[in-house]
Parts: sequence; C-alpha cells; structure tokens
Amino acid sequence: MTTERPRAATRRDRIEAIDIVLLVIITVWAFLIIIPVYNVIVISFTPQKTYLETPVLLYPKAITLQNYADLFEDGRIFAGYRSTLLILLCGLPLNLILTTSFAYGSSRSHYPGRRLIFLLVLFTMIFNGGIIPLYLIMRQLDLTNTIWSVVFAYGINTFYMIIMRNYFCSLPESLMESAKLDGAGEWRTLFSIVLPLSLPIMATITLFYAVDRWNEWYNAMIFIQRSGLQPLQLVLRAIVIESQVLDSYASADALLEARKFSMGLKTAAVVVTMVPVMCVFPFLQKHFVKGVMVGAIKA
Amino acid sequence: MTIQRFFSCLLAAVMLTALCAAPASAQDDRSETFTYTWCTPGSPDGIDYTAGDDYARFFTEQFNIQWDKINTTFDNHLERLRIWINSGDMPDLVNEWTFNFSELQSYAEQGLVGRLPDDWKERWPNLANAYARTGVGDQIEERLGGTYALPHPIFADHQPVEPLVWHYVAFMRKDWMEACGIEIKDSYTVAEIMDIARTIKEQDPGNVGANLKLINTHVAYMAYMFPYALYEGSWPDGVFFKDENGQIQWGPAQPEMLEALKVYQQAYREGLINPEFYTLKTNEGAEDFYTTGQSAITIECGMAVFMDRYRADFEQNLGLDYDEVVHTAVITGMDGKYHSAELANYSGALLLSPQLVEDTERFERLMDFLDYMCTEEAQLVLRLGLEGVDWQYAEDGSIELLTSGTVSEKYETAQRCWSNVYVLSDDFGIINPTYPEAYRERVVELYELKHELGTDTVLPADWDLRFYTSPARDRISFVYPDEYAALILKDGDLEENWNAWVEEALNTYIQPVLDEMNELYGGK
Amino acid sequence: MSQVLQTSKHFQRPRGLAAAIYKNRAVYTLLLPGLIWYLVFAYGPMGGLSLAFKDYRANLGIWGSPWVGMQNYHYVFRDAAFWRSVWRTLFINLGRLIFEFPMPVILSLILNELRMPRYKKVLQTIFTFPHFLSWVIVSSVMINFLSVEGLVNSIVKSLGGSAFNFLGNTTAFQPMLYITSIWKSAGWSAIIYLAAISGIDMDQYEAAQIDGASRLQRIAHITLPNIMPTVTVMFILQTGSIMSAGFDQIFNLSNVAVRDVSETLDMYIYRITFQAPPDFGFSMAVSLFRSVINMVLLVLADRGAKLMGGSGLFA
Repeated sequence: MTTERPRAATRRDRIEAIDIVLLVIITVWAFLIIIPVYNVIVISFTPQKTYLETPVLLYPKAITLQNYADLFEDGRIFAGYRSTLLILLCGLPLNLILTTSFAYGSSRSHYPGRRLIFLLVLFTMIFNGGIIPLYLIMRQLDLTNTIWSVVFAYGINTFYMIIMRNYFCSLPESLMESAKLDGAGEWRTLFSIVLPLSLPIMATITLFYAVDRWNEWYNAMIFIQRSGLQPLQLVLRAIVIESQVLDSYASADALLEARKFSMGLKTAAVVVTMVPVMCVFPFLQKHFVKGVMVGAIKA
Repeated sequence: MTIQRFFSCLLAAVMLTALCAAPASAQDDRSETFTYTWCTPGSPDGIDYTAGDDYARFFTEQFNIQWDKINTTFDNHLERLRIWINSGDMPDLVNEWTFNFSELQSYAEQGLVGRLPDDWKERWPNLANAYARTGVGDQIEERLGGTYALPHPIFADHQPVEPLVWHYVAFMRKDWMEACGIEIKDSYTVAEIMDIARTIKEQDPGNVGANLKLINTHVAYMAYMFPYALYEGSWPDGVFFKDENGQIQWGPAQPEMLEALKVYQQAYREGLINPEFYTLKTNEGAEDFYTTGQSAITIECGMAVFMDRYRADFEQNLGLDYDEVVHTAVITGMDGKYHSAELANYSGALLLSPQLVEDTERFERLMDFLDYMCTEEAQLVLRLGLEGVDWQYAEDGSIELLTSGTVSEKYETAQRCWSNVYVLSDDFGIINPTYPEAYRERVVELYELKHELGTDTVLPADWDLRFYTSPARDRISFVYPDEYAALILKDGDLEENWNAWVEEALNTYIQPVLDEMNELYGGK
Repeated sequence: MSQVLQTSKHFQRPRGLAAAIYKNRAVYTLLLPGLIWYLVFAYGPMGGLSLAFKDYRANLGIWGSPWVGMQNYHYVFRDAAFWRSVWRTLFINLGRLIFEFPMPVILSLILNELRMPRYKKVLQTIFTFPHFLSWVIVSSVMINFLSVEGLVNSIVKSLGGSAFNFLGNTTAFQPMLYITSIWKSAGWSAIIYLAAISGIDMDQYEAAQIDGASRLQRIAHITLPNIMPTVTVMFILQTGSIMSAGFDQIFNLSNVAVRDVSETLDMYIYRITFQAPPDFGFSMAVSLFRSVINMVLLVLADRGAKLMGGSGLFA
C-alpha cells in the first residue's frame, strides 16, 4: 500500500456522487470546446459558397483542399516555418536559461539587494518605454533585419519568471541547505537538486515559451524589414490579410485584394499552426499530469 | 535561383553592351547597378520583383536597378512605416497608402522624408505631368515649401469627369427587379431603392426564403447609401465646409444630417438592411451577393475590373450570366440629385527617403525610372504586358491582344507591386482592353451621370479646410461611418441621441477647430 | 520575510554588507545573465517614458525632444470619452477577476479529481485547443453561432422561443466577453495550476487517506492550500494588468452596435492613434497613465494578499 501511488489508491474508493457530477460537468465543457473547434476545422475544408450558405457546419457537405492549396501555393509558408524553427531553436534555450537562473537566483534568501532587484524587475512588467526606443536600441546593436532582434527582444517574461520563482520558493529550504553542506555551489544546486524537483513547472514554462515563440510575429514585423526572415505567423498574416482597414481606399486595386475566401484561408492557417504544437504537446503533458514524489527524493 | 541570377547577369551584360553602343547612353551612365529598398503594401513575399519574370526585367534592366523589396500588408503597413520613419530608418522608396497631410507635414518639418530638388519638374516632365493631374501637388508644395511627396494619381490621362467623385455604385439583381416589374433605371433615389427592397422582400422573386438579405454590405460601405447619398456634408471629406455666409460649418451637426439619419434608421428598423450588417467585415456583404445569390443589393466599386470579377464570380458560383442578372446604378438623394464631396484625385503617395535624395546618382536614376513609368509606352507594358508577346499594334494603330487574361494573372510580379509604381491602375482601367468594352463604357456612363446629377450637390474640395492642420484638428478621431451607424442602432429617440452626440463632439473636439478655421478662412 | 530583511539591513555595517555580498557571490552570478537582459532590453528603452511629457521629434531624438509639461494630459483629461473608457475598463476587468479568474482553478481541481487517466489526458489536450485560435477566428465563429440565423438561435426557435440578438445587444456584450474568454483560455491557464498540483508532496494525500478524509476534505485541506500561493501570485499579477487586458478580444468581438459598452481604454488608444496622425508623446501619456493605475492596483492587491495571511508577490 505504501509503495503504491495515491492516485491508484483513490481508484479503489467508492464512486461517489461527486464523481458523476464532475464527469458530467467536464464532459459538457469539453463538448462546448470541441464543437466550435471542430467547426473551424471543417470550414478549412469547405468551399466558399457552401460556407456562406451554411456557416455552422457539423459535417462537410462539400470537401475542398483549395484553402490549403492557396496557403501552400508559393512556398512562403515553408520559409516561415524555417524562420520560426530558427527563432525557436535560438530563442527557447535563451528564454529558459535566463528565466531559470534568474528565478532561482531571486528565490534565494538573505542576499543584499534582493528586494531592490525584484522591484526593478517588477517595474518592467508594468512600465515599458514603447516600441521606438527599443527599435533604436536594436539598431544601435546592429540587430535589426536579423533573427537576433526577435530572439533578444523576448528574453524573460517576468510573469513566467515570477511563477517559476514562486515554485522554487515553495521547495523545502532544507534541501538546498543540505546541498550546500555537501559543498555544491548555487549553479550545481540548481541543476542537480532544484530542477529535478521542478519538472512540472519547467514543463509548463517551456511549453508557454515555446508556444509564445511559435506564435510570435509582432517583433519580427517591426525589427525585420526584408522578407525571407519572417516567421510563420507573419507569413500567415500576410496571406490571410486582415482587411478591415481597406475601406477608405480610392483605388480599385487595393479593394480587390480583400476578395479572397478569407474565412477558409484563416481557418486553414489555424490548423496549419496548431497541428505541430498538438504533436509535441503530449510529450510535455506527462510532466504536469503526473505527480512528483518530493518525498522520494528527500529520502 | 542561381540559374536565374546567372541569366539576369547575362541579360544585364547584354543590355549594358547595347546601352553602351547606343549614343543616347552617353549622357546617362547606367553601368553600375543600383539597389533600392522599396516598400509596398499587399505585395506577396517570395517573389523576385527585380528579375522574376520578363515583365519585371523589362523595366529593371532598362535602368539597371534592383529592388530590395519590403513587403507590408495593408493592415500593418501604416504601423510599420510610422515606426521606421520615426526611427530614421525609412526605406528608399515607399508607396504610402494612407496619405495623411498632417503626418507628412510633421515628417517634412523634421527632415524625415526626402525633399525633391526644386527643378525636378523640368528634369522629369512625364512624372511632373502625372503629378500635376492629381491637382493637389501645388497645394501641398505651397504649405510645405517644397515637394516632399508624390501623391499617386488615381486618374492621369483618362479622368472621366471633373470634378472627380467616388466610384461606388449600387450593384442590384436585375432579374429579380424585372420579375417584380420594377423599372430599370440608371439612377435611383434612396427612397426608390428602399421601395425596391420592400417589393423584393414581399415577392421574393429568387425564392431565397429566410436567408434573403436585401441591402447587404458592411458599415463603411453602407454609408455610401445612408447617409452620404442623402447629404453631402456627411462625407468624411466634406464634413467641414463653408456655408453661404462664408462661415465654416460641421456637416454632422446640420439638420440635414438628422434627416438623413432618420432615413437610415427607418431602413434598418424596417428590415431592409441586413439586420446584423454591423458584424460584417470588409467584403462579407458583397460575398453574399455574388457567391450565394441571397442578396438583392450591395454597394461596390464601380470599376470595370470589379464588374469583370463579378461576371466571373456569378458564372462560377451560381452559373448565372452577369449581364442578365446584375444592374449597376447611381444612388441619389431624395431629390434625385447626386450628393457627394469632391474626390481628390489621389490615393496615397510616393515618398523618398532623405538619404536617397542626397545620394545624387542613385536618386537621379530612380527619378529617370519613375519618369519613364509615366510614359504611354511604359503604361502599355505595365497594364497589358510585353509588346509582341501579350499584345501588338494592329494595322489601324489600335491595340490587339495576343493572349487573354489580365496582366497580374500572367506575370506574378505585376500584382500589387509594379502596377501602382506611380499612376494607379484605375487610370488605364478606363481604357484597358482586357476588360469587356461594355463594362468600361458603363463605368464612364455612371461617372458622367453622377457628374450630371451632381452639378450643385457635389461639394468642391476646399484645400484650405482639407489640409488644415493644428493640434486640435489632429485630435479629431471620428470614424464617421461608425458614428452614424452607432447613432441609428442606439435605443431611444434618434433626435435626442443625435443632439447629445453633436453636443459632446462640438464641445470636445469640433468647436475649437471651427473657431480656428473661421478665424483664418471664414467670411472670405 | 521583508521585516527580517529590513532589520538585518539596519544592523549590518558596510563591512558586513560587503561580506554578505561576497558570501552570496554565487547568487549574483545566477542573476547576472537575466539582469543584463533586463538592463539592455527593458531598461534601455525606458527613456521613452519621458515622451509622456514631451513632444516627440524624431530628428532630435528622445532626449533632445522638447519638454511640454502636462500638455499631453491636458487634452486627454478633458475628453469625456477618455474617462468613460477608463471606468469601463475597470468595470469590465473587475468582472474578469470575479468571473474569469477562478475558472482555471476550478478546472484544474476537477481535472485532478477525475478518475480515468486516459480520458483526463484527452480532455486536457482538448482544453488547450482554443488557445491556438486567434480572436479573429473566435469572433467569426461566434458570429456564425450567435447570429440571428445561427445555430443557437435555431435551437431557441425550434424550442418555441424567438430569436435573440446576441451580437448587437449592449447588455449581452459583457457576459459574452467573460464566457468567450473562459472558453478560450481557462484550459490553457489551468496548466499552471495543474503544474502546482503535480508539485504537491504525495505523502500528504496518503496521510489524509489513512485518516479517512473524504475527497472534498482532501481538496479543501490539501490541494487548495498547496496551490494557494500560486493562485495568489496569479491573482496579483492579473490585478496588475487590469487596465491593459483583453484588447484583441474586444477589438474583434465588438461592433458599432455595442460601441457604447465596448470602448475600453485600449480601444480608445487604438482609435486615437490610428485615426489621427501619430503623436508618440500623446500615446505615451495615455499608456503611462494606464501603467500607473496598474501599478497602484498591483500594490494594493499585494498588500491585500499579505493582510489576508498570504505571502504576496514578494515571497
């Protein structure tokens, strides 16, 4: 009994009324999510005319791959995938190293300047100097028109850093103390004691950063002028042009541009962005579904 | 890619030899290739606009220029440009699509955009000629003390009417109207259009049923019928105007505005307008018209290129013949007159960076190029494709098409990049033989009719008022079509709502501007 | 904790401070990479804040632009639409704290109590789907479902009711914001709480089980207290972005029919900056105002959390 996981133990409990209630609530909730999402996927395979006649499609009345063909037409998407992967490969490690070391460092107690540093960081979460000064800095560092401008513009998300720090703070201090007594430095303690105990939060923050990087477009839009380096989301936005601002143009050319089947393209774009993330998701998921045996490591 | 490069180098070399051999080249040495950063909205990435096809090469090789293209989209164009220009990182050449005089003035004062040399008009006469057609060049120069922008002429050599008016017209289902016994006319008053909608609603000649949408378009276009067609002072370009006493007034505060709004509200409450038209995004209303055939009336750009697209859409989606089922008509006010504010003959502007203008050789080469793009020879290639490949002169001197399709279908570099280098495609669109002749004639007819019906109801452009800038003026941020729609959708009494809205608008934004303008220009 | 720090500061002499710094040098090496990043990319552009009191001239640069004092605020504060948007933002986002904020917590608790591990994994994946739909898409789908001819109204009509205009209704707008927001992001935000729950020491559950605690008791006495610090931090952080939350959502879900209830401060700023020529001083003035309110609220929430016995942000 003691070696068994508690989840396994609860399974042997009687099925209470509350289990049924929860099951029903959660299933209904899940359905409320699936129906529109499913609708979006169906729309991406639907021709314009069918969509306009019956926008709420629960099964595809006519199937077309035209929307995907339009999306992949000229290979721009692949260039976008390449840039995004590059940003992810360079950016994600940077995010994690900066955030983890900073979060752990600031979770340590009793060092002078702790409060000051934390306040300085908190200040940046609420105040920022705007995009033009940042652009000028990127230009001074000669980073504009390179992938590095995008990589460095998003280094630490203070929000995530604080969550991670909070998690580190909740770990028993005695663990760190005993590591110290064993002669481990702070960096070694971080890697050999703290990180293994923090897999759920590490998985979460990794996922969050990865998805942020994956969805990133604004910085690239501003810092990168030339085409070719633009990440996936920016390419998609260019294809699936959001044309509300077109209303006041006097030239026929610009107005004609608005006439693609934008809903089909938009939904196809969503599917294209979502699928890769959904493939990776289950691998990270196990870390925050499974419990961590703090006790086991302590012992 | 490398093969392409190789060929382009080869071709460039051949051109170069040819140029060197030609006596004319003695004065312009174009042996050095110049590269320019060129920012245009809406041009897709991943296309080689310098040498991607024969069409692009035809132009770039003549001038030995290369593009380092910066492609923006219409929705991020303005934001990106503002940040770049305000950070001193402006591309060499920019097609600005949301030309705002006050913004230009601020850039000009700060030296953020290039100023053309004072003698540019003599040196590049073709460009100067097209520029003069916009009618605003002198106005802008006078206010800024030099040429800082080249506004894109909508029409250059083929302007249909003077003064120019907007090209929006009603697209209506002719077959339904005929089935209901409605007279087909070239213009309808707003009241008549509402009657037509009522009749179609009752009789449902297309057997559409519950999905039938009568007048269907989004808020910004709905405004061309309600209230623009009813009152010229409601046009965003015409809200400030001089009354008969020389006093400057604000259109939306006039009693005519209230009358126009009442009609708008009645049409909405009676169900003649799509009840949820305010949720429509651009083009979604028109989509219903040509895709599902469930809508009776929409508002659209009355240009041949649109009619041609509608023709293709009707055939493809509904198997219907455009000429049988669609009728285009001018929308007039209750008095049968065409109410409008004069449309300035420009849309957006070409801006050059200050760094480029200072770099004399590169600047001159680019100006030579732009000048050439305004010639008839270049326009023919731009709009029709290469001579001898896509078209040729027939014996009688007229143009004979050798291939079908528009130039953007034939050459990928043409699309929304080359076609608007300076003069917009609308100009040639009036005579472009790629579109059916009947459509082009219809476009001119509609323009002429607007002109005829608008003799005393088209507000002439008063540049003093339109280009007036002051901190107070710059703070006015009304999106007029949205304001009008919000007013008629609001619960309660329209007149009360309108009064309250006018009062707040006057107090906060408008009155200071009116005072300033009356001080300067009033009474004259 | 902060008290301990303060007292220790009082008693430390400079030599003691140097010694303390030296003793903790390893901690500073941990902080260094992050600090450099913050200094260059977050504090580097911070000079831009001064634009709120300046007339930005690109040719003179940020520092060289002329000071104009409170002039930028002078115009904003006189605009009734500005104040309406401020109150509306506060109102809408306070509602978010009340209605939206608890949902991910509840969801994570329910998921955690679910007995079927496979089903749980599937559900969890499903709940993250909507995070990947941008608001543009969500709004289009909403319009399809909720329009007069849409699915919801068809069901209402088939049940004998009459069609309800959801999209242009000023009273329905705010609840719709909360519902769509919960729909879209509750699953994603729940991940943080699930991570916190996974971090709970299993010994506690085992002990409780031996004591014969019921499921609800275990939730109330073990799970909730254990994730409470995370909940508190999330709550404080959310309070600190109260003036700036939800632009994309409102921008896409609103229309002119509900304009009177949808123009939040962000929408106001958008209107001002896109319809008028760019005035970076003016937009900075408004966003600085917003940041100050955010800061005040964040500090208040932090104090409040501490008063209620929680740890606050500065644990």
